[in-house]
Amino acid sequence: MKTAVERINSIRNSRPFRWGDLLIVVIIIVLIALTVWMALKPQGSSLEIYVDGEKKYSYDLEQNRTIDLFDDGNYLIKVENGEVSVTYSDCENQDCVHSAPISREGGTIVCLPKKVVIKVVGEQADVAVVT
Amino acid sequence: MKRFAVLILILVFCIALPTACNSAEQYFIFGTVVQLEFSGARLEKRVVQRLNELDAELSTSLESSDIYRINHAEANQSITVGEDTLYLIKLAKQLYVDTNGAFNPAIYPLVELWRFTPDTYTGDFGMFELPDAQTIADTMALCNPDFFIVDEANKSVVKTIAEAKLDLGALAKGYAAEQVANMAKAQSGFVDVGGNIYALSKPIKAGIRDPRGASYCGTVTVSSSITTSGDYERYYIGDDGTRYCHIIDGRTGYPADSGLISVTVLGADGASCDALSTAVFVLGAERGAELLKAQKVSAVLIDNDNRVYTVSGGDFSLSTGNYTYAGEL
Repeated sequence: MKTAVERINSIRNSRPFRWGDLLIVVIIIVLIALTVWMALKPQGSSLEIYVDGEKKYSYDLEQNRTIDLFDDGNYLIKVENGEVSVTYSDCENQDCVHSAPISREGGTIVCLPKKVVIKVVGEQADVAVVT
Repeated sequence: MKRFAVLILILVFCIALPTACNSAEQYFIFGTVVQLEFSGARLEKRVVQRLNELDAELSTSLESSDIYRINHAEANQSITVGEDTLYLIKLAKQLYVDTNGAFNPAIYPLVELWRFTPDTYTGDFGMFELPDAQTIADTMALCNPDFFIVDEANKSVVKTIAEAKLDLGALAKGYAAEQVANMAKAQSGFVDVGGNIYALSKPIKAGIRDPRGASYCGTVTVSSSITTSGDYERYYIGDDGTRYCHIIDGRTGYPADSGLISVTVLGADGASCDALSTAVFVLGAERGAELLKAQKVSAVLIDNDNRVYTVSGGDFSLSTGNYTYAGEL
């Protein structure tokens, strides 16, 4: 038969909360905060290229480059000073080549014959869709 | 060990969550980009199937489509058509009357003459010879929706002259967007059929494309349909700098030149909004506003002096300094 003091000590010794637990709780809180921050932070602009509905490439908009989309020299996309334009396409209607360059604010260039969509996911992405 | 496993799981979840917020699914249907933004893979499959069915009925270029068969039929030859085609031809003929010919579904011979059909459009004016006034007048004579007789009982269409051709392109995409939006209306998100957008269960904020830039120039909240007609999609620039846009005024036979460069219409009926945006683009701001009010729809109009007008404009707001808001019409 334990005395009252012994029982209290036994409960104290088997307390459910240990320093290790606190560490885990802190890590979880930090991770949740990180997730929320990553989801809500203003995204820097990035360039996304889709071919036939599939996202093929994603690039940093701030780095100048020329992209040879199909590796055959027949579809060239230029990224220069944060602006993206199609400089050459062998498609029939040349809509993509005539499209205004897209930049940090967002925008899309579409080439229907080649099924190419070039999109800048912009800083001011406060709209769901553009008509 | 268990705790360690839980920690790893949370870590994976945390990394996966932001990357899971991906952009809408894209498809190429109706000769344009279709974006579907809602959840449910099975629903998406059904929606894509329905869009393909509609395209197969309404396309001007697919040889098995109702429209292709009508366009290539002889005079007085009866062509059996699907329910959607029948409904849209009736609606288009009504809208032709309601808009005093500003919207004309029988304009295809003129669209061909001006080389704006998918198989004739090049975008390169150097390859293009402007049609002469006589050819335009002769072609205009073929562009009358009254040449098409709908037989509802037999679900068929007959045309009275062989040369008459239909093009439902100016309302088919708006109709398609609404049709599939109805299938997905329990979801939140939107469907976008080449800029003909339909919001699902919750209103969405839509951007209106900057007609002379790459991004959007204004925003508006949409609870059903929104669609835009502009002069920036398919056009030729003449040697003298004249812009010949793909929207042809069936009353003159020439590309529309009303002073408007972009017309966005918001309303409940996807097909009508699509057709009305074309009609208002042809009519111009003043007469267009009268039509929009009579049809009880909202709109945002942009003219070639970079002035922006609204008709029952809701919460429309400009987002660039390149345009000036000129008030309600």
